[in-house]
Amino acid sequence: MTGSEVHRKLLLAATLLVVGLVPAFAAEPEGATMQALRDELARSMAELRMDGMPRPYFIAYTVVDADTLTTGASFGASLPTSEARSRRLQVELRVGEPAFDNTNFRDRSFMPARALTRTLPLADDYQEVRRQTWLATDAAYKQALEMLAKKRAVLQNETRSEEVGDFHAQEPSSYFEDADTTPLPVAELEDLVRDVSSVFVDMPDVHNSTVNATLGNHRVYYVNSEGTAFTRSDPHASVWVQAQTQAEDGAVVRDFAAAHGQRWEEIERDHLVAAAREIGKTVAARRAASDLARYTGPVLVTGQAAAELFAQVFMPRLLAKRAPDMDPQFRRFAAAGRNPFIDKLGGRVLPRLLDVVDDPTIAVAGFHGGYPFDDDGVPSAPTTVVERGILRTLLSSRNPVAGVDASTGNRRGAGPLPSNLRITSERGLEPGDLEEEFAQLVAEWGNEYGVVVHRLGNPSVSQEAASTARVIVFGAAAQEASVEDVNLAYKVFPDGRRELIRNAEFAALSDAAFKEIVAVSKAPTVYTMSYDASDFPGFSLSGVPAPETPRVTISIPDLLFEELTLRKPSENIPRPPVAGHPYFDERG
Amino acid sequence: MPYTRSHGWSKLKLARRVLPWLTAVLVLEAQTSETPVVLQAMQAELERSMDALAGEEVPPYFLSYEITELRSIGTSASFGALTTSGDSRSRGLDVDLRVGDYKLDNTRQIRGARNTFPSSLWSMVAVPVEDDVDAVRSVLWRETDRQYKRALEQFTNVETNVQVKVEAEDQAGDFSRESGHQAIEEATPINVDRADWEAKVERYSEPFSAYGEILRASARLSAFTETRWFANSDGAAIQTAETIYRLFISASTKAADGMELPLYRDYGSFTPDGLPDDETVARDVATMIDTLLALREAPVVDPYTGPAILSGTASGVFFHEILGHRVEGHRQKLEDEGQTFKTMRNERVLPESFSVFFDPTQKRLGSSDLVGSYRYDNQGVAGRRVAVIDKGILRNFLMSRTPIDGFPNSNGHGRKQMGFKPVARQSNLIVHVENPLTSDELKARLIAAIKAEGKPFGLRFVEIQGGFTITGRTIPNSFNVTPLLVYRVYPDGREELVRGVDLIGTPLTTFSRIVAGDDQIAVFNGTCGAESGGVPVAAASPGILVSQIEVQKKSKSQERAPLLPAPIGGQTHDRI
Repeated sequence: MTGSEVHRKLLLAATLLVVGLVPAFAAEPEGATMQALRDELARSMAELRMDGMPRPYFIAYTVVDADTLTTGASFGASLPTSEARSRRLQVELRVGEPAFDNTNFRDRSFMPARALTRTLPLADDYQEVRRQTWLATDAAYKQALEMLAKKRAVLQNETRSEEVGDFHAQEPSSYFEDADTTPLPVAELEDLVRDVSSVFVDMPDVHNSTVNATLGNHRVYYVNSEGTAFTRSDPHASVWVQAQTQAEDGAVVRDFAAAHGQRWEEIERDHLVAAAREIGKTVAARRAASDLARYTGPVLVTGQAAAELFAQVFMPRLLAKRAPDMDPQFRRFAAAGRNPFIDKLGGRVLPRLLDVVDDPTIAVAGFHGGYPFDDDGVPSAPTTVVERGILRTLLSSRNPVAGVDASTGNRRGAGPLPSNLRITSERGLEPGDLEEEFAQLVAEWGNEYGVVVHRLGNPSVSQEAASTARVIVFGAAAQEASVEDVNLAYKVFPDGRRELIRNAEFAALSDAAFKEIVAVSKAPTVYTMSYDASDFPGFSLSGVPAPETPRVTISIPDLLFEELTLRKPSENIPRPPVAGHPYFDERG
Repeated sequence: MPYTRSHGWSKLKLARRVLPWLTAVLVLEAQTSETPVVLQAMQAELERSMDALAGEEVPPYFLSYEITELRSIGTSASFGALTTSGDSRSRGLDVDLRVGDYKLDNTRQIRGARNTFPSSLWSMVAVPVEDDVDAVRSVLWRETDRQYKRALEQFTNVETNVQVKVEAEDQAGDFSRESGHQAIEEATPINVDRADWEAKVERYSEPFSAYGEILRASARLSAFTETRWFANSDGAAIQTAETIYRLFISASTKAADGMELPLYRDYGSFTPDGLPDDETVARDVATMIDTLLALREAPVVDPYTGPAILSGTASGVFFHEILGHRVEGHRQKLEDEGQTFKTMRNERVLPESFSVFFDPTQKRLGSSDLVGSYRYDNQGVAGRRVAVIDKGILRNFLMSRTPIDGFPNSNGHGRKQMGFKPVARQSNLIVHVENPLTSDELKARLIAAIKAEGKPFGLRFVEIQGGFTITGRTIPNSFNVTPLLVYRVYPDGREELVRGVDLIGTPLTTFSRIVAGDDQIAVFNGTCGAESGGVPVAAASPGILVSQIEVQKKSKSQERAPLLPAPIGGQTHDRI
């Protein structure tokens, strides 16, 4: 990490007391914000208590200083630009003990315990940071006491089916990274999205197009009562291009492309323009193609589609998410979100030829999911999740799950998320060999053709949302996978002829299908996406993921499935527009 | 300076649907150099859409576009430290497309409908912020097509609903015929030095930081320009622009029993110079601090009925809630509305000395700007002064283009927030009292009433946070006004600050108890929220004496005050 220095050390238990004696404004080199957090943390751990009630055994403060720029363009003209800076404090406070505390419980309010957040000043104002931290800690403590009491009240009448603690132990560490204070390039980003969007002014068969961009310098401050402290910079740059049209019969045809980087300079204008042209051309070509009739048989899923399919179907299963204890009244209405892979630890979940490693330490071009410390303050490290098809562990935070003994350093936001996920095989095939294998499989099935899928939709990228309000529901650990429609696929005939498919969707796809992978390519595709796996997903009005949504990079080979089912889209086809597009209509 | 152009083209109106629009286009084409680009795009696409859809089996009989640009600059500080500072601009589109005819169209209420999903109340259609005709037209095209298909669905349901349900009580049609106005109001650029404002909000909110008892304190300065472009198939072509500058200071403390005690100061003006100077703000902030500290110690009032005085701002909100919402035209028509005043036209509802009118054309009253003013409403109809109550007699209703029996036309009160459908809404509510009393005389009347009724005290409501009212039929037709500052007035004239009550009641009973008004006119500027979103409104009223009001206990937080003392300032009133 350029400009950063890692310090990892064990801290003495007396650290907090020492910190508490530091003069109020002796804030260097961490700044007044970190100093104020430390001082209020020390005071709260030492003094915060209510008569007859337990004291906090753990407090963590996270401050996210978010400087975010979002803009967009449609048909070559700028959409609104927003540049906003905010600093939010979040408090995590635990009472009880690590084996049994106030967390992992849902009361009758149907919601998880409120995230105790406060707005902080934009400047390093020691007094005001302390005031807001004091108020947030006080509220968090009272809420924690009540939640612990409710949890105890429910469990006094029940025997838990599984005894799992509430908090993994973790050695303290510290890490301090320099702040990135580079101003966000507003005019340059507006020019870029306008330029890319102008591509569609020459494409009469594309009825609707948008280009959205998000650029951010986020800085995270973290301190907890165990002595862990870090500051981390999370710069990010993302651009999404979306194109949509309707065929003569009204069928909606859409596609998107995206580019990601840590910083603005990594977004290549020429690459984006080419990507926009490419999706514009394929969308136009698909207008004249036919939908796929029902197809069952071998399917070759390549490139972006392989990454999206893995992310939408399989990746949620790799997260150590447990079902919380619940108020019995709540339990009647809420499905327990227990990940079924918890019971498959040590079992086969993929074919023998595949390994899966999550590695937030990867710092090479194209990988954007990494970080030095996770949001629990756990140092990042590679984790082998699947080894020769066997599930070895799950990606975890400090929230324990049966069979997962420690945090893997994957807390990102509310729970565990992958970082850079590498799906590899020592038995990957060269392109020609994989196609030959595919052709042989199709022949064995006796099918007229096989299907190759190149691109899939993404659940958080939706052009409708750009024009009309719509709730984007992210499927996190749902029992049955919901897969976006196919954006680019071909029928491949035995003579090598390829026929473009207009629209298709996967039918009844579950994680079990991934055991039916029979061959993979040698060369991987590296693909980045914004990924929200929270239990209570956010809303998107812009048609692209919210700027704070974590990014996950997947490196994955092309996947040859022995058997998958695809069919034409199940949704009704809307009526085509009564009038033609005004720009192209008037120009003939 | 804003100006209005009129081309007198209503004389050229030749036919019901397309021709008026074509005429307007011809007139405006001669003025193209002056027609804003966005408006040009709207006119062109409106004409093309009406032409294209005219060939459909069920063609539209009316189409309007409204594009709203919102530009805002705002800065906030908490306890002397800057928390936000930003500048934003966005544009959104609203389309009103109607099939059927003026008598019966797709917008008619579906009576007796159950389990309807309310999402259709709001939609956001983003429009490019650049004045690019082709990009704007492509958005208009997509949304027109979407709205046309939706109108067809709605109209099918309306036709069936009319057949299967009993005859509607109100026989007025669904849409009024209005002439298409043409006007261009020039936008006034926002005149703000953001760095200066950032320093101001820090300065204004800083004095609160010395008091550990004050748990929230902020100051926000904002400038907000709403530019609207409106075109319709009646030939309307309008650009309006309004800028409002606002300073909002808020602070709250908590009593020992957990009650949250907020106070606000809200200053609004059409110009930055209309906002108070630093000295005035500092004085007001010092008063807020003293009042907050006093409120913590103030006794709680139990539920009570008896005489009360409402100050000008309090009575403005009082009239807004109990009268204003009940004279909105569409509420006299919708079958699920209480229709409190529908049959009381030409009847006495207030003392003869009271008149109430709504006037969007009045921009100022005394030294206060009135933020509920506008030249044209969101249906392109010129805003007009409406005398709703004249010398105590109910005479009129606030009308959008939704007619009701006896009121076939709009009086320019069809209003909405971007993304909502317009309905009749309030503008500037102004209460006028003939031969008013002085405030001392009003208090003397209050004390006399207290003594006459043998009450231990009366109440004086000085500051109001806001309120709400329920106008429907399914739950009791009532109102709730939320005071911030209330005093007990004892028979000997002594006053005592109290806390913990809301002013409640039912409209007709409460109205009948209004006795007198004083000569202290005060203005309440605020945002009113209802089914067509939030719209800026003003209420100007004198202080009034009500012979009997009712107060109920205010809802109260159950959270204790913080366990530890404030890390700075301590639990003391002394400054650091």
